[in-house]
Amino acid sequence: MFKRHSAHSAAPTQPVSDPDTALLERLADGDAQAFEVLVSRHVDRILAFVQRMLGSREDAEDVTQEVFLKAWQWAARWRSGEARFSTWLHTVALNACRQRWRRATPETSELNEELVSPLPQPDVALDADLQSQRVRLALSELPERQRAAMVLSHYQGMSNIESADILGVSVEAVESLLGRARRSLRKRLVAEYETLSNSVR
Amino acid sequence: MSMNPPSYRPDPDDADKALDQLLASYRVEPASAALRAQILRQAQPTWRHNIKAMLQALGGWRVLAPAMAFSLCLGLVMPLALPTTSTGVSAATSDSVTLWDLAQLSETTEDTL
Repeated sequence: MFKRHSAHSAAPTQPVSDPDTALLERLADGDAQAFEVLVSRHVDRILAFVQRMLGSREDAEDVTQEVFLKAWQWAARWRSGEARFSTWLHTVALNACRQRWRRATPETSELNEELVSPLPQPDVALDADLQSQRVRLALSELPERQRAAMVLSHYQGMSNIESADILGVSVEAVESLLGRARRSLRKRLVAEYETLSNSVR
Repeated sequence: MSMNPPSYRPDPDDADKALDQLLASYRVEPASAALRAQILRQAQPTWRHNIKAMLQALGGWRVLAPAMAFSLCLGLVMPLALPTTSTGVSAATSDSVTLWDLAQLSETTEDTL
């Protein structure tokens, strides 16, 4: 890992096995082919993570580029065994997202009013695309750390330990964030979904 | 209108399952070929890579570090080890002679001859 500060890293940890170690060693020597392999392995996950965090495809593509550029520039400083490369990429991506939030106005401003309405037209209510937009809106309204915990755990398939490492908090804090995030989403999305389902019937 | 009987009590897990289903509906398209190409285009050698490549070309740190240490020692020890002579001083003085002086000198030498 390049530079890392995490709340639960005080205890001595076992070296982390990382399938990318050999590629990272080549990357440190400026091997462009190794970089290509790493990009093809991780780009979809990082893009998905960033897009779900920011709610915008365009911003997500910009941030994804930044993340991989940092990986390329900092590869020589990589110390294997301290963390997985994918965990580090997620940490960089999250920090880049935070920088975007600091600079930009809230994303919710560009969301369609129709999506915010609790009772849209029944014939389009259960359309998958609209449902996806509703989830996007609900996620974007979560506090930043809850959203990050939710996206990392639910969509990226990260363990609570990995999520804690990325967020720089304890595992207990991640569990708490997830609990609160799920409660908020359930309250909003499931209630809406049931209302919509009933209205369709 | 709900079709459930009045005695129906929802399973607490039902809401979680429904939430998971809803969350699964939020899909993200994979990275486009253009984005991948753009990322790969960024991979230009940086000064770090260049320095590393230069070090490797010179034999790496295992060769360079002892060589540098040896040259440093040599630089420190040699002035102490060599005896101080007047050669250095006279050389420095002779450096102050201008080309004009030298020309005049050669002229006078020719006259003398």
